[in-house]
Amino acid sequence: MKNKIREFRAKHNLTQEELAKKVGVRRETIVFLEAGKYNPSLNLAHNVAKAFKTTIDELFDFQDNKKIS
Amino acid sequence: MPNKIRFFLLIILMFLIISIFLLWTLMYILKSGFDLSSILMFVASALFIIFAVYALRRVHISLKRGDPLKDERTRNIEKKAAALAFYIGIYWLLVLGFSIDRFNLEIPPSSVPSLGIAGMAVFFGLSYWYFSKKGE
Repeated sequence: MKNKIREFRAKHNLTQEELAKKVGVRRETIVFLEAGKYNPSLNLAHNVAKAFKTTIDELFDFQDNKKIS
Repeated sequence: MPNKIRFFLLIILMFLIISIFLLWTLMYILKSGFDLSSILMFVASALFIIFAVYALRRVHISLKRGDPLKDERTRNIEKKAAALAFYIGIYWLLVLGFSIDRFNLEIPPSSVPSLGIAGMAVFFGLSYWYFSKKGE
C-alpha cells in the first residue's frame, strides 16, 4: 500500500529511528512501511497518523485496493 | 520483563538448544558412523547455529539502539513462519517416512522424530529469514 510517511517524516524533521520510538515499533518496521512492503495494523496506522497530527486517510493511499461492494 | 534479562535468557536457551543438537549429532556419529541420519543432523545443527547467531546479533543490535525486541511486524513474521514451518514439517515427515521405505535408508526408527523436529526448526529459521526480508 502506498503512503506518504516519508514525506510527512521529512516535513516534521524526524528520523526513522525517532518515528519508530514515537510509535513504539522497531526501526525496520518504519523502513518497510515507507517502502510500502508492510501493511500496518489499524492501531499502528492510527499511531503514525497521530504522530504526524494527521489522519489515516491523508497518510495512506487506499485507491489501489479492490472495492468491497 | 526487562530487555537485558530477556537477552540473557535467550543466550542460555540458545546455548542449551545448540548443545542438544551437537550432542545428538555426536551421538549419531559415534553410534553409526557417518550415515545419512548423522549427516542430516549435522546439517540441521549447522543451520540452526547460523540462525541462532543471526537472531542473537539482531537482539543485541536492538538492545543497543533501545528498540523494542518485538513489535507487531515481528510478531506477524513469527506467526507466519511458525505456521509455514509446521505445514512444511508435515510434508518433511512424509518425505522422510517415504524415503526410508523406498530407498531403504539406514535411519534408526527412534531417530525419525528427532529428524522431524530438527527439520521443522530449520524450516522455521528459513521461513523467518524469508518473511523478515520480504517485509511481512
